[in-house]
Amino acid sequence: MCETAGEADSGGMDTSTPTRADAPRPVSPAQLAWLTREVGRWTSDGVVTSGQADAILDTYRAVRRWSLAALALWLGAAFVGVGVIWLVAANLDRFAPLGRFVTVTILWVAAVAAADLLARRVRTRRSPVVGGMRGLAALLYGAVVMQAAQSLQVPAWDATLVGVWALGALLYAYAARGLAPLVIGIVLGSTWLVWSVGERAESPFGVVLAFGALGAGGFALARLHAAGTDGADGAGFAATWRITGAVGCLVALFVAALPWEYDLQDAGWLGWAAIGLGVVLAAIAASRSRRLDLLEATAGVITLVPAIGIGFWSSQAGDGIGAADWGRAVVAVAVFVGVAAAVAAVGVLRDEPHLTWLAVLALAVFTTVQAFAVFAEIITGAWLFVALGVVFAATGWVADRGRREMASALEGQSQEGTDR
Amino acid sequence: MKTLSRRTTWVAAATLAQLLLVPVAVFGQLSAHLTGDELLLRVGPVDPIDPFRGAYVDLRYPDIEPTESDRKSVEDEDHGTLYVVLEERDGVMVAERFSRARPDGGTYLACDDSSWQLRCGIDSLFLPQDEAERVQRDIDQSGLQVEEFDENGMPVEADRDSGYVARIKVDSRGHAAVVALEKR
Repeated sequence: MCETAGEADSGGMDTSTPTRADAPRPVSPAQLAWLTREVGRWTSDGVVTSGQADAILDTYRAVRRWSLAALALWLGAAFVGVGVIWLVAANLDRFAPLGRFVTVTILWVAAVAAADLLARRVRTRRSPVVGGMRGLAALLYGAVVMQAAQSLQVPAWDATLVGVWALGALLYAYAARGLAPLVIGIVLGSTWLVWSVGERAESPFGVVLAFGALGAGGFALARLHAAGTDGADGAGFAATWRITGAVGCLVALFVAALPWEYDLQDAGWLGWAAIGLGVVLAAIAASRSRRLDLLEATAGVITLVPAIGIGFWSSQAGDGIGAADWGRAVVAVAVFVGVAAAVAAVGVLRDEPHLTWLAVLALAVFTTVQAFAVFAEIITGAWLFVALGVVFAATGWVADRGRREMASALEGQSQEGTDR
Repeated sequence: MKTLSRRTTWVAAATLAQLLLVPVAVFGQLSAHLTGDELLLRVGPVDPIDPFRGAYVDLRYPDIEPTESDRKSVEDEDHGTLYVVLEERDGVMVAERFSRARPDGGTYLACDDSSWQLRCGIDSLFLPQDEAERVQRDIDQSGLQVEEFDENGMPVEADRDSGYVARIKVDSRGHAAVVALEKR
């Protein structure tokens, strides 16, 4: 997914081989089909001659981004990496613990070296072979950490191990500029953060803080990468952090709005430290952005305020369903619709349709859960579905309106010459 | 070519940093293994599975669990680090007293009582799956897992003995690691 995010961001225009000036430019089959249709129209309208039309079409060639070879490589890397971790878990006591540790370490270092050598030999941007090998190296580092823990009998269910694995994967991702280790690092790092904060807080509020921090940090880092001058790598990194930010914001609001009665125990220093880090990153990103970019840089922090507010409110939910619960559900739905619309708008803004789909899916899940958790006890049976349908249609209408207005505002902005 | 070599330098630096992170992840147990003294503790196990690490025996230590009165004596509301000072009795170590402050000397374990269970870094013994099952069966037959309940359905504290002891290593800062499980 990571590599596609990066490639989608580069708009499929990436030259996957060094191109001469007259070599056909690679485009997706859908783009070529569209161009062929349009060029046919231009010819029949007399805008271009058929000779010119052929000359235009000859400058492009259809290339599939998702080649079977790339899919097989990534699947292979993932299976080998997970397989080695399972071998560690199988605890092969025929071999001494130190021997097992050394073996796994050698495998890991070999994968890192192989990825680096391949990156030197394969002089293409985003080679799936290099990507797969880097992904494998990031997974094998996990095997090293787990084998060290195994050899020393570190107690089970220790979040620190996942945290160290995540930190290592992120270090490697930034050193090698590799998207696959970045995605592995982000997934593991998020797991570690939510696990550690949730464990300390012993209430859903800790989970709200952890996801809120991910949202704030994710959007801020996306903006910093996009604003940086590190080319296509930066664009892939930005897209990956952006989706992290979007998921963080949406999940934080989702958990905050669940009507659980709980004591707001202190989330511990870790939760607030994560929030602090997210806010600082957003401040740095904001200081380097303006207008719509500024909004993206601070999107996570802006979401934090209602998320924490609704979290406080939800925690006071009683046993029955009263007017306050209706009020809270309505406010929560309104806020969630706003945030989902904003995520969808960012998807339009950055030309990343997967963000728009994420927002729509999140909205559908959120309204369904809220309807069953709050409204279901009052409106039962058939009426629930009628009400749910009306809520869906209404939110869809509001979201679509917001999206269209954002898209047209964006067109106005891009005509003024603002870059991405 | 120049940018490629610079990236290789960064990758090498990151790899070294990753390698140095590994001992951080396992610091307590590594320190205990390298610098600790060996002790024996009586145990009572069950056997679950960790998704990344496989089958293990979950070890509980009846002789170092604080009783109600012990908990009262150490400001129970104040969960966090709990030091368990050990003394030898009949060839195994048992808790002599509990303290929130680090003891000045002697043999002690640095534990954490933030969760429902006292965790001292010696809570699991990872074994191959069949081995873990065998130890489990052995323990079950010893009668250790047969719970007794009072009229209110609360478990009755009983001094049961599984016949197993854990050989552990403890360093001077209370970090501990399991070395082996032995039949007494």
